[in-house]
Amino acid sequence: MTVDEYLRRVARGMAGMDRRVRDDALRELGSHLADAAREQGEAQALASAEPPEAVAARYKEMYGYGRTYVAVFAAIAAALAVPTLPLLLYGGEGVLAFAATLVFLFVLVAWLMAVAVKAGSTAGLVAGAAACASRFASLAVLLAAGSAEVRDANGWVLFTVVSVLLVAIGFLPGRAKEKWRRRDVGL
Amino acid sequence: MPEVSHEWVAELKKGSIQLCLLALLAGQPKYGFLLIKELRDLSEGFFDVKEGTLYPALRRLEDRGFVKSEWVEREAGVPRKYYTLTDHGRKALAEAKAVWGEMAGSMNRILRGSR
Repeated sequence: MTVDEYLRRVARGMAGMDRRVRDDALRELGSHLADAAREQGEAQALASAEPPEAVAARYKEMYGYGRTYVAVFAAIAAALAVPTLPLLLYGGEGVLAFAATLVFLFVLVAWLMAVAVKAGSTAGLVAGAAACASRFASLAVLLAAGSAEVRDANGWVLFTVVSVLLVAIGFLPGRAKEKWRRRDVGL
Repeated sequence: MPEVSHEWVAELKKGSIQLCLLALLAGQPKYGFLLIKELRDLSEGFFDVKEGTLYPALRRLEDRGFVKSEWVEREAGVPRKYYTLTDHGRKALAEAKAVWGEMAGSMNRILRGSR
């Protein structure tokens, strides 16, 4: 393996991170390895370096995904939230509408939890908030178009509770993971 | 085989690495490779820090405002990123040194009793 190959593997492991942070970290690692190679030779410098995937994982744990990726995760959550309104797609309260709602809710919850665990609590929170906002926006569109109605207070309560829960579902798993894993306390 | 776990020793080192870095940066700006060498030499090999540990630790210090960094171009060789202690970092270093001194004194008194 050469220094360039080592850095390429680190870069692969950093995929999805903010580009500015990633490029700066790679430049610094490259500078470090150049100093080490000059003193010990390239082979020894690379042999004493940590595995590139481990180095990349440490940076990714610190900085998480970049804004672009977080926005994409949120956009997917918002899109998945739309069909969680039974009336939107099926226009009625039949068994099919509610079954479909549950299925889409399950998919959305799974997505939010995956984002929270993989990309961190902030990304999960943003995705959860996007899903929540998407549900209210979708309902507002339906109400304005006159193609849906919320018949009683219980309907509003259920809709609001589920929507707000999505924010919590997006935030809490990632937060729990961060708390559990945060073993090194800095100054 | 040692009775003390490797993890415990690793935790002790990890807990003190940031203080060591602030102390090493108290004099003049330094770059990562030099900091690793100084850590190893001054500690007589106890702190044999890898780059995958050092640079994230330096970034944490920078995120806290304790150090600032700057890329410096060189006539020969690749550019280096130099880290400098900030005023905020200098205060943190003084506080952390005081805590460390207190802990070291306390530990020594306790351990002396175990002889």
